Amino acid sequence: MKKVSLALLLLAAALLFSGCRQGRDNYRDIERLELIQTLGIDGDGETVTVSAATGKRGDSAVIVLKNSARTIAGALDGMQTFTEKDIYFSHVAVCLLGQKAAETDLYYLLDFIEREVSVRYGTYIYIVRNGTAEDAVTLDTGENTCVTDLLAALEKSMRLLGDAHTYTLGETAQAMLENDCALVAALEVSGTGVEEGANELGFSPAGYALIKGGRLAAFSDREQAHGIMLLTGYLQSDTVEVSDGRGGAASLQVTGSRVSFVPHYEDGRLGRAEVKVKLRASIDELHSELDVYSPEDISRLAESLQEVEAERVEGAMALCRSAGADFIGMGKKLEMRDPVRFSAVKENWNETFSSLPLEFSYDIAIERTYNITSPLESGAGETHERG
Amino acid sequence: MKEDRISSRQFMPVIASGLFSPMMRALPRMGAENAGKAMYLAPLLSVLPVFIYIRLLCWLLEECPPDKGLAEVFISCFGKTLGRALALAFFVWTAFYASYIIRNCAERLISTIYPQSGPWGFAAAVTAVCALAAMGRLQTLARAAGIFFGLIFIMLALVLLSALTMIKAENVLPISCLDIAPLFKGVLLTANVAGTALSALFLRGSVTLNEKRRGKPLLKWLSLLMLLVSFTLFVTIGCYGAKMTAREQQPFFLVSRDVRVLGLFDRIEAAVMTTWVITDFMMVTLLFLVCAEVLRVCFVRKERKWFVPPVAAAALAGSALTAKNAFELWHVTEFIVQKANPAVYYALLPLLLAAVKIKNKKSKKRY
Repeated sequence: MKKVSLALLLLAAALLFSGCRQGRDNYRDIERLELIQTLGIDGDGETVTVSAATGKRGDSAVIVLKNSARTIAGALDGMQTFTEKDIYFSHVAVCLLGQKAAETDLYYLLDFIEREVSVRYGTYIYIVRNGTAEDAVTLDTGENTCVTDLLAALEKSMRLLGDAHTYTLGETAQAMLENDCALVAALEVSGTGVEEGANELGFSPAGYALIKGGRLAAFSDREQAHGIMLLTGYLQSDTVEVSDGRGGAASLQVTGSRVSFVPHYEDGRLGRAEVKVKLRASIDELHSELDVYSPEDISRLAESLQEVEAERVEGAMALCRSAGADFIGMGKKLEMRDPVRFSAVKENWNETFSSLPLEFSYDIAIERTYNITSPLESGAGETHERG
Repeated sequence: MKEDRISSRQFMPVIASGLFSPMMRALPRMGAENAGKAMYLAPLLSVLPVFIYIRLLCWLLEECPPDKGLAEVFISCFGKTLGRALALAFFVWTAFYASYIIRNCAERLISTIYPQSGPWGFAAAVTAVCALAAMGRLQTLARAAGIFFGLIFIMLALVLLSALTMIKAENVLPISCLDIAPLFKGVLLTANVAGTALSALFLRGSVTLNEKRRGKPLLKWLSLLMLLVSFTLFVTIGCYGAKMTAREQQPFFLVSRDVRVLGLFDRIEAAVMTTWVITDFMMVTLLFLVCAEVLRVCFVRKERKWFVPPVAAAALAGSALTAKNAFELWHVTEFIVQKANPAVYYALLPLLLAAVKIKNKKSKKRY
């Protein structure tokens, strides 16, 4: 009896194994899978065009597929007729959205992503500025690389250079759900937009796309994007070229930054808020006669840095306020400070944010110039004596 | 036949691993909907009230013979006809709940991993495995539960610890006095779901109590279970925020889908969801045992195991009738299970036990 029971038990348990049933999505043989890694979506509200590219695996060629239909799912399903392998979306790493599609409706994309079990929320999302997602996905990358690798390199360089933070589909969906607005990193395909900043990658950073009410509301320029990075707390490092005020220049590396928002409540109402920017930098390169060990000279450099950063921060804030929504998550930070008092303005926070009087203050310091005491021209053969 | 009894210490892992099933199904989504971002505190806060409530029920049963289950207590107290009717009423609800869990298990596998499948293969497999387990010895099930709980613990720890880096502070903070009322709803919801385990009182006759350690195993396992559930909710809400968590059918699935374990493996959701079947297995087996025990007492038989196959068949048929699709299942959850569960375990059951206590006291029954 025990053996029969055991056999029955194993037989029944086997029904739970995925290989027992051969269906389109349940049975997967790795050799027969076309692993899509980059997905591009374009649309005009009537038709959706989806382009998809596989990654580079050994000597195999990158496969690029494209199809149009009324819905994203329909276009993806239709792609299956273009290849003998099973198209598999579980390893999609990047999702690109054409500018026109972003101007039309982003909720359709997120609806598809939320219902589709294979695409992860951790997938990066970009909006292709001045172009289509198809331009990006079908970019000729040569034999040694692929679009997915180029986009991974772009994400890294954007992060390290303070150009933009690459948000994921999950973060975008959450921001739109909670605040009806979201930031999405934008990129340009070289040759289709502004050439400056374009590099061998084939893509160049193009600031942020500001999404409001499910639609593209505005783009930031690159300076505003730096400001947004600072305001959202994602700025890891940045190199800023500033004037020394005497015709020379210096390259300053931002080594640390912090922005805090201080609310001022008057009679229970949020009257104004302070935006306190704290930034620490080091001298990376000096084309100047300044004596950086002189407090006056170093403060002059700090003032120059403040001018640049103030323009970025205040420009970014002005852009967000003119777009009519708290893209930078200031509300959440104010709520964190005082949830009870913030609850009074939480309901209509986007309106309040747009008209709230703001005061900016800056605490900017240049802390070191690494291992050198003076530039070669001015200090050759001398030794500075420092107390 | 050798006596198939287990100690309360052995019984606790069976209940704890079984309770994971309804808790992980209901708490993340409904909890985030009702209690918002503070929901992760609700399971921890509900430990004490749930413990006190269970101890209260045990106190009401104190004067009943310790080797008798609830069905026997009802019959001896309310008479054969009314007692049986009451026990059978509980049987109907428990069998329905088992079929609901089976259907839910199948639906979870479809909506997360096998989108092209139908539910009946999964439902039949789960029912068959649970029926076989319920026909076996309780001691074996208890030993298996200990192992299974460990497995669930390891799987949870792996996923949740790996997901810690995905948590955003603003998704779980700040918690203020504004969260008290929503949190209270969360505690009620947790207690409601935990109440399902009270059906285990029907197996009271198969469990020996250590008089010196009364309540200690319960408190220990309840605390451990709630701590794990709290941590799971903390990570889930921390990753996606309360609003998004409230919109998902299986929020924990999202975490396991997006997580990268130890920086080495990703796309582990299929393995996680398959391990999750263990919790359904424990819960459904427990419910089958309860149903079979009630039938054994009502039909005055010695062995309960022969009642398991018809119970399993009824539950399987019930799972087919409960909901034909995911939309119907959602309605059953919202309008039947969430409302009937507290009525059965937090209203009807304590009333009946209070009546038992009063009647025993009046007739001065002593055991």
